[in-house]
Amino acid sequence: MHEGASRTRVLLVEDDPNIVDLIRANLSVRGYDTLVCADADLALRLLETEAPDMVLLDLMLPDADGMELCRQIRERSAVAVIVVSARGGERDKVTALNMGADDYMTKPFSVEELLARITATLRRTRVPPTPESTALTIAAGDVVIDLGRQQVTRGGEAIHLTPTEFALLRELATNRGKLLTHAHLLRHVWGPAYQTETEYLRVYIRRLRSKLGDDGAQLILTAPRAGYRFAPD
Amino acid sequence: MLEVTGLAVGFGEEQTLERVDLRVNAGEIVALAGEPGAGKTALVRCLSGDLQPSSGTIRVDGRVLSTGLRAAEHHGIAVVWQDLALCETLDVAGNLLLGLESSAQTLSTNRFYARAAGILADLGLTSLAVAAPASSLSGSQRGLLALAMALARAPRILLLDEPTAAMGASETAELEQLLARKRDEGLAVLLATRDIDQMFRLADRIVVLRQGRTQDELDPQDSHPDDVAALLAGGSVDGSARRQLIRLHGLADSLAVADPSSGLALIVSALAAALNLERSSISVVRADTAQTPAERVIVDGPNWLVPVTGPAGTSALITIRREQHAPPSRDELDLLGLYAGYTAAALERQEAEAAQLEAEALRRSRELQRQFLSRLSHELRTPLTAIRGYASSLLAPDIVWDEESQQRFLETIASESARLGRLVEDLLDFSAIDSGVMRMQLDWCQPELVIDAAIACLPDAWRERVVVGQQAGLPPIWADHDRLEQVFVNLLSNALRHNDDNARVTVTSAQRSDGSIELLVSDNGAGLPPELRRSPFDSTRRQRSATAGAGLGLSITRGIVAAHGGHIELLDTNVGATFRIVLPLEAPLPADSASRPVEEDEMASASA
Repeated sequence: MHEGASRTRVLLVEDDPNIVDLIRANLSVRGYDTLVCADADLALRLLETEAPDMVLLDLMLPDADGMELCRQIRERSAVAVIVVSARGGERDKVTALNMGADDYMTKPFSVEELLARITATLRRTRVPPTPESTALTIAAGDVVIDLGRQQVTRGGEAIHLTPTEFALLRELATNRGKLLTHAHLLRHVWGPAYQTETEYLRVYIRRLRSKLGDDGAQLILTAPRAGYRFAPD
Repeated sequence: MLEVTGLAVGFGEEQTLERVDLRVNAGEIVALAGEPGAGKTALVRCLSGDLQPSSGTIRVDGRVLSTGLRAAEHHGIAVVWQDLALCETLDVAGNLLLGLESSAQTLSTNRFYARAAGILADLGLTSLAVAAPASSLSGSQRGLLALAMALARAPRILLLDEPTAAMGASETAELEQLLARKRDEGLAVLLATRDIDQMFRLADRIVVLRQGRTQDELDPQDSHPDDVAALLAGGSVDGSARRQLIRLHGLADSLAVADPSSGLALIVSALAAALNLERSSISVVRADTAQTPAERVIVDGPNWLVPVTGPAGTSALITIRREQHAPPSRDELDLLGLYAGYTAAALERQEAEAAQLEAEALRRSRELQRQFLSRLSHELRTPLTAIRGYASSLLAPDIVWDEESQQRFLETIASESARLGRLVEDLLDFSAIDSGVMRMQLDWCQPELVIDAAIACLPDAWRERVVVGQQAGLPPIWADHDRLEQVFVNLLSNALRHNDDNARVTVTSAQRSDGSIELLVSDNGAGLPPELRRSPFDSTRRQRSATAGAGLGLSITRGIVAAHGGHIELLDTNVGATFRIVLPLEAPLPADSASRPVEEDEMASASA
């Protein structure tokens, strides 16, 4: 993650010159730095050398598979990724989230929507450690969540979570034993505009369970049609 | 485990099953051999509770099986039917888990798929993808899925009705391996099949069913495939000369199996040779509608008519034209019965092959359509994104844009709107052509003037790269000037856009000896990419590339030319691309859409 003082850097992977101009103009006027590229190799290189805070990734690149690029980015980094696609189908959305995207935006979009998604995703993916949670550590079975250092271990071994995954786990774990509704989780982890996007939650809960070794859903309990609950003490 | 005694079934007047006695033990595969019409399917339907026997009993572990599919299921009987009933709107997992205890609603999507994948993996059927829609499966895959569906219900007795009739070799092997494994795990299997080799590969016992009766029972260890063939044809296992003859005839059938498309012709030739007749004196005519099964050979003057019995009654008639008046001898009757069976099998194979080809073509065309729509969606949404994005930028309350930016945004909105407008025009044209409702304003027009008008539509920089060479004194043609102009604008701008600035485009026109007008648009550029060259006018076959649009232009061009009664083609050239358009002086009246080519009677080739 980038130092708080410097400007937020956005890596834009897009081949249409008009859309590049549109996004760049709107971001720079609002204080973001924008890096642009239209091919997968360069995108992965810039990810390393420029350490952007966020990637805006168009799925339909002329010479690359956007989904595959998304997966490769997620393999290398916990950077926030918003996928931009001309396909609005539910299946593409779930695929993108499964490939590690933090958010999915369908073309055409308005500038308000673009900015709102960028702000919400950045807020979620770089939460500074808050003072009251600094000392807090939550243990459940062999999983230990250190809220202050934003670290999770299982049987002493570190588990790598993306910021969104961590934010979701923190929300669940700090409300231990309480049933949190889908809407509550979406509102608190993703943002008010996401309240009905239950497939985001479904994809992330599954990924969290698999990373935590919670295959039997013993740690994060499912309340069918209602929400999720972190296993009580 | 499963015991059938004195079973009989009557359909109206006809007795489908007369007397069936049968036993299948746990951990045993019993093959049920029989020609089409022998009663295999009726027996399987009885055992599954789908058909009520008129007399006789079916016992499972000593208890009498009552009628009804549920009763059979309760006794642990599962069936793999010949016509595979899959739910086309569900995917593989949906079909597999349909109606199993923990229903789809109570499982999460992921667990649902994981469960389905688990079942398939346990069965070793890993070639089936759980998320593939049922409608996309090949005949072989459908067969394997139907087997998986039956086995997923953990039956104790499995009935299969010709499971591999429409299957490829590798899937057949997969199915056979799985059946053998399940047998070793204690499953009782009754396998109705016509594949004699399969019986010998799999079965512990072979029960021969003929004309509704269990004729005989063979142990594959000490019998020969020819014995089964002989029993099927109504003979008994006897004299070696007879055996040799039947083996020879079996060979004709095996050869026919190898090539379904010529199989029938081969069988007709073999029968002609066996009866010592000319090949042309035997013809096979398919029955239009299924008729009640006729078992006997009809003697009509000197001619013999042999009914061919398929799964749904008499499916065809073999007509044998002879010189002398004489009824067939007993040997000849046997031979005719044998060949009627081969013919039925060949007809079924032909049908299965045709159905498979049709399904394949449908799948391909759906896939192309899906790709086309996805590309089109991208083409439409891209300008729309720019328009909506720039407009909402200008409206954003938190920012005041400088003059230069405002100007740039507005210009892009204008140009992208125009691009969207052109795309929508194209789409409308395309769908008008596609549905045959394109309106034309026909009048006499000069081809040279149409070309000049098209060139005038091009941007200045492009116009000077066009060379026109035309024959003087071309006659006027009866055509829609604006539509033809569109044809040339499309062809010219394609040639100029996709080639570098050095490329030249030449348009020539001339009258051909038959009076029609020939127009050539050729460039000296790089030529069309190979994937486009194969079918340049089919918009659904385009790939997305950096420069291509929705790929509608050439489809529209061809549609317009066709509407004028002409045709367009891409010529095979070494350099660049050359399109040739041929237009009649006067287009014929609107083509009659009802006149479709008459379908060739597939039997004609067999009887010729």
